[in-house]
Amino acid sequence: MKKKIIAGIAAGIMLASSTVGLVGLPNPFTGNLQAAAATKQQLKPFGKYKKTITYTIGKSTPGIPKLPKGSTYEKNAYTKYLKQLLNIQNKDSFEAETGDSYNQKVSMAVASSDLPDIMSVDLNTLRELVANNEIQDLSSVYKSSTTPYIKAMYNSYHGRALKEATFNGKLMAMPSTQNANVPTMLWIRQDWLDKLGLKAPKTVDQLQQVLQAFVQRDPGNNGKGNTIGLALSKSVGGEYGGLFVADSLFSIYNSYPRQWIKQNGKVVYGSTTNQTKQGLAKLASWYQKGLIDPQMAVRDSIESLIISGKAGAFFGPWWSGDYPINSALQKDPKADWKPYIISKTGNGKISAYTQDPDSEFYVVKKGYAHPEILPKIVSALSDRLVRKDKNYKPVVDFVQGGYDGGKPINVLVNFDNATAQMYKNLQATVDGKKDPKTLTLDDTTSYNAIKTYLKDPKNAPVNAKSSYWSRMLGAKLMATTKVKNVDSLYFGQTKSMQLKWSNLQKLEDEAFLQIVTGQKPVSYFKTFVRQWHQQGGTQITKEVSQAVK
Amino acid sequence: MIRSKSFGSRLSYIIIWLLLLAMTALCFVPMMNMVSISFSNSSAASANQVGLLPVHFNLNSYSLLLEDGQFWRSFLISIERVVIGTSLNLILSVLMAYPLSKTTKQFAARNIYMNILIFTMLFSGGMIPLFLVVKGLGLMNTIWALILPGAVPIFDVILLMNFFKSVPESLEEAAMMDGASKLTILFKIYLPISVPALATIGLFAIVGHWNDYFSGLLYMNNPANYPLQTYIQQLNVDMTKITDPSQLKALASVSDKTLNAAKIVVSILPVLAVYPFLQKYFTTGLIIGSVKG
Repeated sequence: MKKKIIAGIAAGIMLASSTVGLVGLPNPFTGNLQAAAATKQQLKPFGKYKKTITYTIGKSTPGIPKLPKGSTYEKNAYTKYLKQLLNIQNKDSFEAETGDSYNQKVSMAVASSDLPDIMSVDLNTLRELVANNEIQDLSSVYKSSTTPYIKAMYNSYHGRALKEATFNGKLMAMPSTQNANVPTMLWIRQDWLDKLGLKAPKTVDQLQQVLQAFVQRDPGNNGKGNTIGLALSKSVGGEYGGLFVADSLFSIYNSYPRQWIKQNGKVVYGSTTNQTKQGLAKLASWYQKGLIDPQMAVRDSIESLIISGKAGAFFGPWWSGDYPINSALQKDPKADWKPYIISKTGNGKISAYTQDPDSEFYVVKKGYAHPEILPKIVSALSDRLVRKDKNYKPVVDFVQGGYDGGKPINVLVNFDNATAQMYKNLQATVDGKKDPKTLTLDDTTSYNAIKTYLKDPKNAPVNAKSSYWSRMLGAKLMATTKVKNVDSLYFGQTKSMQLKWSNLQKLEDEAFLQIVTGQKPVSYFKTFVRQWHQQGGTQITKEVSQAVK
Repeated sequence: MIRSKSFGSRLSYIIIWLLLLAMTALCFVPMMNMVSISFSNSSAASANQVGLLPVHFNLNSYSLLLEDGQFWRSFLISIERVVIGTSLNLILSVLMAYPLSKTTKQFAARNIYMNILIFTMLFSGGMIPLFLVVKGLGLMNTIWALILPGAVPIFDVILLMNFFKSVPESLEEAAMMDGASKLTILFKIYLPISVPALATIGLFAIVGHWNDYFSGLLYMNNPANYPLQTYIQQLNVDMTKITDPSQLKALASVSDKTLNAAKIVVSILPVLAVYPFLQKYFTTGLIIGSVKG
């Protein structure tokens, strides 16, 4: 009861303060440059401004500047396009590498209350900014200045995409979406299978036999005892669409490690379920039989196993052809990796958990006079530029030159089924049912590689080969496999999580690793679950159940 | 020293030698590995097949490195930082340590200054207040943001102060009798005899400035202004944490193991070059300063 009252008061305060914000206390710092709010014409997605509008951004960049000579993040093909189309120009308050460096810059900007007009933040920072009333409500400009195509992409997540950015019915940010990238598949050395006269595995037991044959009969001539059956990451499972994690194995047991899921009507943490215990037990038995990399606990470069030709199988997403298999092919052109789906009965039907539909959130500083600029940029870059204006020469040259990081604001919006759709488009084009000219710019690049591969599959250059494997084998499997989606329910941080989550994660990591590598018996799982609940898990589960209600 | 020839002492020599050799190897092997990787074929490097000797020796990564403008820009920024920063550290340390080495009779406010110094050594404001000060002073994006916040290395001041204290008072009195001013005494008497101590704190400062990556990250809003170690820190990427294919392209550009190894090798050369010249002072300087006069 008490909690509800407090929540009510907090909501009231937030509501009141945001209304005050809407009425518009003039901000002394930005007021002088952009005096008048946008006209109706300017609120249209592609409405051009008469005078150049300058906006400041926090720019997250690729590690090393990969721009054409003479270009900068403020002046390149993309900023030129935006200038021509909308008459807007970015000015970078700060530039830093995506990840820790960029996050560091954002937290400094927040701490010193000196936000750029537009920047991307993570979910926790978004909540903090909303609570401190430092960013604008975008509900109305989202309606007026976003194209129907962009809205359709957001809506393809059935409301999940914008939900995280919505507070008390107000849209406070435009998120970058993360489209479906599951199921991850089993990539296996086809040439090894052929050499040993084995069939591709379809079930867990068949996979076990194949791994056993790999390890015992050494088809790769690595020398006795040097062949590794399955390469596995030390986090074992629970990284959505990740490389080297055994999520597709766990899902066979209906286990979804590290996810908040609903089980028998109750919210539970996937790592603590009995199903996860079964998955771990299977992996532990494989480890004991020597089918899994014996050094998995200390291995820091798992890809080196794939590249050097020591490992015979790994779990990976559809794009594994691009990495690490691409590097493996450069080392040994005969390494023939093929993707397969492992299922319970071998009928190819599987389940997989869904991921956080949003990866980052673009926010507009309170007091900035042109909040509509954000949806307009998204509409320009993710709709018009990839469809109507896809032959815009400077950008085409930019992309084909292998350059990267030009977009001032990189809101990635995509349909939830974008990968499957990509495969379907490419397949249709290869079959001659679709005009190559109608492909998007990225797909055109892939299509050219696929064409090169199909001309002479045996002697195709490495990049064409790996592109074909990713898109025509991996993505095909993704598009055609029947997947039962299990919704992962919660991605934020509850109050108790802030204090206790990192400890619980450590406990979980260690328990997983110890059980798989046999340092602790499978029965230790029970102890782990008890400890997990004692050290805050029970309370956090309660809070998460509350939050997802 | 007289060496006893007993079995026990010989054995202990052998053990000590072996231990030292093992420790040398511990330090040397990773460096050698890095050097070998930088000279190797890149697919051998990504397959983890390079040990102590290069596989398929070639100079590709070094010729690529020569064309990398940002690397050399960052390299120059780091050199600039070391030169300006270290000189400033030394000048300020000397100017501070000399008066503080006097007694309260000669310098009444000495203890007040001393307490202020020690207080700041023990308690710092933390990252965010420091950031706000640097920002408020308009130092962001300038080389001074890397130099001024640490311009007075208090540990070095105390080290030098103790060294000055150990200088016999009669030396200063004699100079005074000959009509030398305080400044002349500092520069003509104290400095020449404190070269070991200065070399020690100079080396501390050079290594500290050269290796610091975090302040570059914090105070530079534009990667073009990064010092070398900040630049190198950006190369460290965990490829298994990728969850989205769109990140792949960006990461492929930094995943070149041999090129990164070449960058690291070149980045340690300057410190490696300075070390032999200053090392002989290093131990003596530390010991001398620590004896309180």
